[in-house]
Formats: sequence, C-alpha cells, structure tokens
Amino acid sequence: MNWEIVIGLEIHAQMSTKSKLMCNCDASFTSEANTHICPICTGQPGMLPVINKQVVESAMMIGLATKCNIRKLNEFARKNYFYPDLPKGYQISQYDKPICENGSLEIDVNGVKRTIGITRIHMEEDAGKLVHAGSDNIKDASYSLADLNRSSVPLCEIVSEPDLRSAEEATAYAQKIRQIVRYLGVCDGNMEEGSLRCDANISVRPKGQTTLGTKTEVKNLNSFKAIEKAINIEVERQIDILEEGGEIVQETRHYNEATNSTKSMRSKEDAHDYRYFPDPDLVPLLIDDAWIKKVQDALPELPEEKKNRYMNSLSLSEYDANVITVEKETVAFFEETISFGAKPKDTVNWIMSEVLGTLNQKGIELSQTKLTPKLLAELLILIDKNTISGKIAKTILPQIIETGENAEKIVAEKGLAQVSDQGEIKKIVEAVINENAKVIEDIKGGNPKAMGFLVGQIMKRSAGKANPGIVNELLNELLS
Amino acid sequence: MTIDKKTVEHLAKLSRLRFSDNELVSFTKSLDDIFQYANSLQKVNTDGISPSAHAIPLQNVFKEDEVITYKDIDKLLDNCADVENHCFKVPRILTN
Ligand SMILES: [Zn+2]
Repeated sequence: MNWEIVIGLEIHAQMSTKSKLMCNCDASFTSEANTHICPICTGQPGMLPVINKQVVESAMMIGLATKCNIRKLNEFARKNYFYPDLPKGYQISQYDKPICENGSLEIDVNGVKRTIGITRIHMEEDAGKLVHAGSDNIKDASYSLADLNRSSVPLCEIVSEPDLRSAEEATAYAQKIRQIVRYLGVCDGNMEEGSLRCDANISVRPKGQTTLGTKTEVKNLNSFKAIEKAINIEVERQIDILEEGGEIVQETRHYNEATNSTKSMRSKEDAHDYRYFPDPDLVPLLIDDAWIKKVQDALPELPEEKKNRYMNSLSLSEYDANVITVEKETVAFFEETISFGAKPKDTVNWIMSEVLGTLNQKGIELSQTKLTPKLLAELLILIDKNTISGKIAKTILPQIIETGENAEKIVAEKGLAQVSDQGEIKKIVEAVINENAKVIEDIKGGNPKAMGFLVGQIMKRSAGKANPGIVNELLNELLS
Repeated sequence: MTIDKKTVEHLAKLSRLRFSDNELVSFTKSLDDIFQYANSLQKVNTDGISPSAHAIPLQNVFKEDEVITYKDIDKLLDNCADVENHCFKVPRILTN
C-alpha cells in the first residue's frame, strides 16, 4: 500500500531572559545545584508568582514573526500532575487561551516550497532536573535528587499543525523555527544544551484517506539529525504494524539515539487528567493593539525578509541568499563586510567556503577569530583591484585569521602583489616556452590540456603572482 | 460528591505526607466541610454571566526582567525531609 506520513511538531524554546518566568531568580544555566532558587520556584506555601513581562513580549515576537494572531485576553492555567521535579504539584502554563494562534511558516525542501500551519504558541514554566541515584535507569534507581535551578525557567511551546509530510520537511521546519527565534534573539537555539527541544506527533494513513491515523508522540529529539532519524524509524515501525494487520497504540515513545529506535514510555499511567484550571494567583493579561504594534515595530529583519532583500537589491542568487542567511552570526558578518565596500556575491562565496572552511578545520567559531568584517573586506578589495590573485588571497587568509593583520600589510611584507607588468611576465612566458618544446608541439597538435600545463608552469615560476589575464594574452600572442 | 477517608489517604500519599489515624479522620471531616461549602457555589444562578478567571478587577501585573538573588536558600533546603549534595532527595520514583 501507498502510505502518507503525517507529522506535527511541538517545539519547546527556552526564552533567554535574565530571570525566570514567575520569580526573579537567575534563569541562566549553572552546574551548581539549587543555587538559582527561591520560595516561588520551589513552591513554598504562601508564595505568589508574578509574570515576567519580557517573556510575554518574547512570545509576541515569535507569534508576529510566524504570522500568528495575538490574543487580547490571556489567562494562565495550572496543569496538575505529581512528579518530583515539579515542586508545586502543577505547572503554570496556558491552556485554552494561548497567547498566539493560527500562524504559518514557509519551508523549502529541495526547491519545493510548502506552508506549514502553526496551531498555537503558549508560555509556560520549565520543571526541575532529576538525577537518579544508583542507576542510569529510573526504574533501578534507589532514590533521586532534585535540582530546581531550571524550575520556572520560561519556555514558549510552539505547536505546528499536522502539515508535515516527511522527515525532511519536519527537519526543515524545526531549522526554520530555530533560525527565527535566534534572529529574534529570544532563544539561543542550542539543542545540545536543551534550549530547543522537540517532540514529534507521528501517524501514517493510506494515501488519499482524509481522516488521520492513530498517532504516537516521540520524545527526546535533541538534534536535527535525531528528528529525521526518529521520524523515519517510527514511520517504518507503524507501517510494519499496519501492514501486518495490527493497530497503532496511541502512546508516548522515547527515542534512543544510540540504538536508533523508539520505545514505549508509559502505559496505563499515561491516562493523564491534568485538571487544567485558571491559576487564581495570576491576574488576566491584556494585550492591546498599541502594545502589539510596539513589538511589531521593534522586530528585527527576519531571515525571509533579508533573503528577499539580498536577491532584489544585492542581486544575489536564491541559493546564495539562502546560505548566507542561515545563521545570525554569519549574516551579521556578511552585512558588515559589504558595508566596507566588498562585493556581495564575492563576500558570500568567501565567507561560505574559505572563511567557514578554515574555521571548521580549526574547530572554532567566527566570533573566536581575529578576522573582522573590515579585514575580510580589505582582502576582497585587493583581489578586486587585481593587486593579488584569488589564489594568493586564499593562502594569506589563514594568517589574517590567526594574527588579525591586514591583507595589504601581509602582501607588502611577503612581496605577493600580482605582477601585471607586461615586460616582466613576457620574460617568464618566453623562458617557459623555450624549455617545453614538446608541450608546444602538443598545443599546436590541438591538445587543450597542454595549454593548462603551460599556464601552470608560468604561474609557478612567478610564485603565483603573474596576472593570469596577461599570461593568457601573451601566450596566445607568442604561440600564434 | 463527598470527600472520604480513602481520598485523603490517596492525596496524602501523592503529597508525601504521613497522617496518624486521628489526623486522617479529622482532615477528612475538615476537607469534606470545605468541599461542601464550595459546592454551595453550584446553587448560584450564573445565567448570562460570562466566565472569568479572576475575581478582582485587576490585570497586567508584571515583574521586570531582572535577577534578584534569594539569600536564604538553606532555609528552602531545610524544608525538605532529606538533602544530599545540595539537592532535594526524593524517594524512588518508579518501581519495576
Ligand atoms: Zn525563584
């Protein structure tokens, strides 16, 4: 049978605010257990939570960037359950009145563009962290230790419609969300450290069927690779069951990256009744049009807008505009480099291949080098003015990255400036012609490779400094 | 619906509280009284009144995003029955 895959993603993005959602404790990570806690985030009797205004604005920013409607009258709800990482016995969240609804996002997989619906975005607090003593496995642990530093750290949960039709689309969507929250500066997007966590609701149905199949929720997707692999393996599992005449059980499954498999997490305890109700500690949150407009006006330029601007006013190709806008740091570097007069197209090529390539080899980030946009621009301008060849530029880039010296200085010190003096180049060309009588015969016999060899010899003898245009001109002249 | 002893026992277990038999009897009675009192709200006619989440006309109470370090963390840990490595020690969560 022909199966259609149906996926919806729930992404938890940790808001990079200074303080927690409901109290003034430091929201940043620390390995020292229980040092960022207070009566509120440890759920002491009589405490009173108060909403962090910045989290509301961050949630509005994500909503506006994904074309959501912003709700005017917001409520917070208690989601009740008992677990030792949840000191109050409930999580403060939003239930039937999330701050953002009905948005959408465009993704592009191998040139095919699709619009993915965003059902809702809501604010909630994180739970604490448990370390199980005596075993890695919670079932074999003799007891557990709770660290509440993370308790009440602000999260935005971004829920997509079941619009994704493949693991690639799901990955592209997750990457797009990460890109947007990073551009907005509301979340650092670090998946390894858990600032961005992803759950996937997965089902399959026979192609053409309109009703949804029974879904499973796969958790623990901590990288884009894990999202893709987990979805593929879960889809395969579901199709196997259905093709053997079985039924899918609606359940939560845990993805194990080491074994590349999913495993049922809870069984009968999963019949959760969270007994949601409005949290009487928190007063309603009203968002008026003026506030929405203020946040909208302050939104930074988003990846999609940048991309279009680069294509329209900088004449970049769609491919170049795409690659240069993926990471916020790269795009900032790009914009600054061209502000110093470097040509946009060359700048994209140099950043994406030479600069990032060299940094990758060294295993460092753009921000960790001595290369500045100004230094890169100076290097590219030297190529543009024919002072040095692209090849020479590539050889001195590592030195600029290492030392932060400017290209002009290095070129002068090492005598690398391109030779465009006809007379000087002519001497070299003639010498090479004289020494390679056999090659000249080949060229006259019509072998194009022989010409390349000759040019290579000339460039080598000039230490890469001969202007290649003049070399070709002279060769044609002398051999005709 | 009424609150019976079994409900209180279950709640106590979930909340990790231990009650004596006498306490169990008295808490059951008190909780049931509270529950029945709250139940009297059901008698109020709310036709034509839109649902609300809050009783007092107050809205948009925020805190600014600034870090204020809490000074008495040891007191918070003292409230826990057991502490290990500056963590709240909790009994085994799942059994086989
Ligand atoms: Zn706190």
